[in-house]
Amino acid sequence: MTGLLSTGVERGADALDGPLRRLHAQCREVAPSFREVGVALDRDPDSIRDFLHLPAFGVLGQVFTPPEYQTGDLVVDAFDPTCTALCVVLEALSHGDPGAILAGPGAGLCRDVVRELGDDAQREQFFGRVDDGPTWTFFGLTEPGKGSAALELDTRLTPAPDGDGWLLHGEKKYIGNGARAQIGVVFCRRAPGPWGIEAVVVDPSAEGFSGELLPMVGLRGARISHLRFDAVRVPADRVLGRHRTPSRRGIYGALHALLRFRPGLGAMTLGLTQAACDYLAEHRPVLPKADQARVDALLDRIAAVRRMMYDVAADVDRGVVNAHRIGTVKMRAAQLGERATLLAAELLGPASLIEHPWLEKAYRDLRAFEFMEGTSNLHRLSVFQGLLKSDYFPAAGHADAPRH
Amino acid sequence: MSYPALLDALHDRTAGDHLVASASGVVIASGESIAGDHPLTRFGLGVGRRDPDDPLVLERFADGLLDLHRQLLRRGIDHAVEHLNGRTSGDTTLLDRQLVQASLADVAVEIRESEALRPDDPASRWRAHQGLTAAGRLLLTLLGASSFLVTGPGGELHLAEVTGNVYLHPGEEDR
Repeated sequence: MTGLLSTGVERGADALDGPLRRLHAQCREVAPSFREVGVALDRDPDSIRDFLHLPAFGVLGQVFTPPEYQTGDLVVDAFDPTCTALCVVLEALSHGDPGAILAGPGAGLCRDVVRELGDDAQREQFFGRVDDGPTWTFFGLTEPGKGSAALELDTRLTPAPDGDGWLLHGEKKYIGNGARAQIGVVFCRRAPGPWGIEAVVVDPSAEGFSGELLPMVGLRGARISHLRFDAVRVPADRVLGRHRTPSRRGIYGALHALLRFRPGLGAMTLGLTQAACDYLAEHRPVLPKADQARVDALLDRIAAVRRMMYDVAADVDRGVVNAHRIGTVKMRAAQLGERATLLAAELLGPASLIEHPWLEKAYRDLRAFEFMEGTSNLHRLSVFQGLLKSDYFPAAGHADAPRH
Repeated sequence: MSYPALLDALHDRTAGDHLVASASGVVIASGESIAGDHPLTRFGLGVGRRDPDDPLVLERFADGLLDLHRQLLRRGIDHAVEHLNGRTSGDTTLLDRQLVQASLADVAVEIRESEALRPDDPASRWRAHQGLTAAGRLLLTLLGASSFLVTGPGGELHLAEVTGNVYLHPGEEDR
């Protein structure tokens, strides 16, 4: 069972055009190999290197490397790196395993912040490093006492006493690939206020940098980590966007990257959620009518959130970045994911979480999407703010004007 | 006391001379009681198999599991209050937020109501388990990424959910 309609895409993806459907089909073809990767990573997160030859990782390289820096052979047809394409790829590959995506090397979430803020030399340095063999990166925003509230971060950037660049002090927690990465971006405070936040490129081999792996319930391949910076030296040319005004770098870069990636996180959630439903259909093809109705109701909702996801992705691609609507997609996808695995575990019968190891893993993994990039409560509050600003519901008959 | 240790104590109180096996023949206990390699091993649990126990034994064990689940939730509330009191947003703690307070209250109410349910057959025990599972998931939404640590409420509640799936699921006919 694949959940695919005769059109080759899932319900709710009907609006995708021909090239994106082809991209979807190509990704779904290589996605099953991620199942084995996901299971192996759950046992040993360091086993990722055994699988990097798989074509699915090549697809990720295409997604997370800006076209001008791509050097390897293309695995799937070349495509514009739009938000819509990101959603297509990430949902399709997550039907295999989202943990494999998060475990993989590449620029990941750093892609957009470096591409947007970096000058030519910084982009060349960062993407050149990422292209130089398997290179893992991290996006250092979340802090122990503050979560991912970008405006409230405490990690400090102070001038080096010898006048040579800056020193980084503080800590970041729950950072994907933090303890494995060879390069990363850290958001930190140079001065009070929102424009006092900077994004700096950090080399984990620098003195004063330490990373510790955290014991997580699921998505173990992501190697979620606790990072500490004890006067880590940051050369002056590693401050991203140093050629820009303060209002167009640090915090701007964080929000730029997060909001453009967030529909993709929804896509990853939907991919695994759909996979859980497909797994149930494969193992219980015939259900009592009342139970089938519960599954159908869930599938209706998954299709609805998928439509909403492609709507917000299309908005992003035309320059409309509505945080309230984007957050809705991420939040609802995460909630549906938990519902899907709870329902599958119930309908597959007693001890299903022992007899179906893949389901038990998906059951754990899907819980992570509740808190990644903001908890549901945070996104609820954002929806409320959107209502106050009359910015949540699109005006009837009027497309929102682009805002960057 | 960790969940695996609490579970072992429940096995001991219920059956005394052996580990209780579910109706499907699966046994879950601490990793000290059941050795082996299983995804639950890193959570401190082991999985075994043997002939199912007598229904009366299973009923007593099921009631004990529901008690354990409520105990974990109460511990989780204490953990959440401390955690959220130490987290700030703007000029206040997260614990001061109405949304957070209401969610903690909902979890507490579910625990109280669950204690009063007094389930007396497999179907009603399963429904009680589902209520506690939903309360646990609500509690975890308040803990952000820390809800995903093995060493905390998120890890323990996962074990309670899996154990309930094994011992409390009544099967198709009784559900």
